[in-house]
Amino acid sequence: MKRKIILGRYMEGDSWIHRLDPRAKTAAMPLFMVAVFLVDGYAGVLALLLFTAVVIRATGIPYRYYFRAMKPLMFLLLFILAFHILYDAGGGKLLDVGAFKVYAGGLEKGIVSASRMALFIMLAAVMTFTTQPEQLAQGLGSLLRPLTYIGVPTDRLVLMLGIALRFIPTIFEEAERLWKAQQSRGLDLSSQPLKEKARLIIALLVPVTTGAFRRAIGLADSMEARGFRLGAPRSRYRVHVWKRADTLFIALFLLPVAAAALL
Amino acid sequence: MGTTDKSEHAVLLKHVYYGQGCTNVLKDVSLAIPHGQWVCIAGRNGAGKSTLIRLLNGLLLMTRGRILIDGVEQNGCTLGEIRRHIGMVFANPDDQFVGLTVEDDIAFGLENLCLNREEMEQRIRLYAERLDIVHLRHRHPATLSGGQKQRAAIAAVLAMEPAIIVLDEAASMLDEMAKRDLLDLMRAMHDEGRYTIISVTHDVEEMAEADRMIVLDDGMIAADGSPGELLLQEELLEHCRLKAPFALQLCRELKARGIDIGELVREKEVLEALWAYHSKRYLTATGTGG
Repeated sequence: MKRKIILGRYMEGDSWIHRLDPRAKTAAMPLFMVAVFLVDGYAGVLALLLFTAVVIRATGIPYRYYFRAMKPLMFLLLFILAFHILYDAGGGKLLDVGAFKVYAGGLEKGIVSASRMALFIMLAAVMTFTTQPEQLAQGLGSLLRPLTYIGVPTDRLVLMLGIALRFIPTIFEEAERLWKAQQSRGLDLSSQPLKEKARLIIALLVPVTTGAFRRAIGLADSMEARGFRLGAPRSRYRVHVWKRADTLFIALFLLPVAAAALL
Repeated sequence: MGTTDKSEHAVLLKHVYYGQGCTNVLKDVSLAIPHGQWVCIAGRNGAGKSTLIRLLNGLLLMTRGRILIDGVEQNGCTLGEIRRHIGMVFANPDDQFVGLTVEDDIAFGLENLCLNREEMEQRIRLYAERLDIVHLRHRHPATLSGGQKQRAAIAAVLAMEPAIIVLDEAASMLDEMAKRDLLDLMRAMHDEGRYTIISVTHDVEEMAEADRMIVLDDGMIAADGSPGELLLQEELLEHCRLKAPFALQLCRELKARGIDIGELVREKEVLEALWAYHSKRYLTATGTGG
């Protein structure tokens, strides 16, 4: 199951986006969000799509990977589109077949909303494809650093995030193994009614959860044995250096925000 | 007393008890391990082996007694210092991997030591080279084999430069090849003389390599001596549910067939004894030797 989901994976590469400071990339994301929420119409969406295409181009990772990242969410995108087409009545009537009516306003809203979602996914893919998860976690930690002054333990959050990222494949693997073990003992979900399916999924969840707890205890032992203490001072191996490219990257993302705000 | 302890013993336990509820898992364990010794701890499941080593660095806290590590008395205030002295490798290679890459995992311990970046880089390079995992530096743990993960875990522990290395059934989840590799590595570490090695194990071949063997039974030390002697005691082996090491089985089989080279537990010693036996026979047969 982990092979199907491509969003969230890191793809080795050597583009200038790969080399950017993770803080710059993490900061670009909210900027982009603002721009995405400000656009409202075909022209704005098209402009943002072009902008994203340029950014994607710069990552050196083929476009098809970005489409694959979107695939699992295709259903959601279509749902958003269909919802607006069916329920939004505005502008001129484009189509009228019995109870089924399509309005120009509904179509535009549908396309804009679905595109917003698609834009988010694509930019999230740019982030995760070009940044190692730990870097991403640290980038986020640095951005949240000011919150330490109001008592938010950001260092701990970053560590937690890092460990979660580290153990996702391990726990997936374990779940897959348990799944296979139960299948080999004759478990067949497809022929079961929904209620029974839910019950069987729980039968899988229990051992996966206990397994995760066992691992957590082992990991805590190992971390403590290696001198980790909550709240104790630590030095940092990964040090980020802010370069001009990072400032330019942020500036690049200010462009669509400014454009969207002015238009 | 403190100074003599420091010079003599890496680990000193005095009448140590550990219990949960009313049951005592460890009862009156006293033990002195000099610097540089390779000690293996044997015993059947539930004998208290893992408990004993977890007491050393305070992962579990003893209920009674004294523990001195490198002359430092263990208590709430010295745990941090003691954990610098003791590096611990666990059985499950997956559950001791903190970082998202091998490099980051090694760095984790070094960050806890508050080392600066240059020092960290230098140590990571040094120990990755020493354990032959340089090519794995940027890999995610999920993409490594069990043996590779265990090597990375050992590199991470050694990079912290502890004087005492504790291995808790570190080979138990490895295949035969990786097990041999690990044993070779332990031998090399022992020969280097820098490390005191304490290894909990069910593997008789590993026990045979150690300087000293401690058998735990029901929370008490049942036997303490050289593996060369203890592994000969069939009753003891049976009690611990162990098989005699292959080398010893071979010696006994040879003896039954009229070739007496004594009872040895290490493969290398058997090999040497066989050569000696062979050349003696050869010399007697050709009449060239005295």
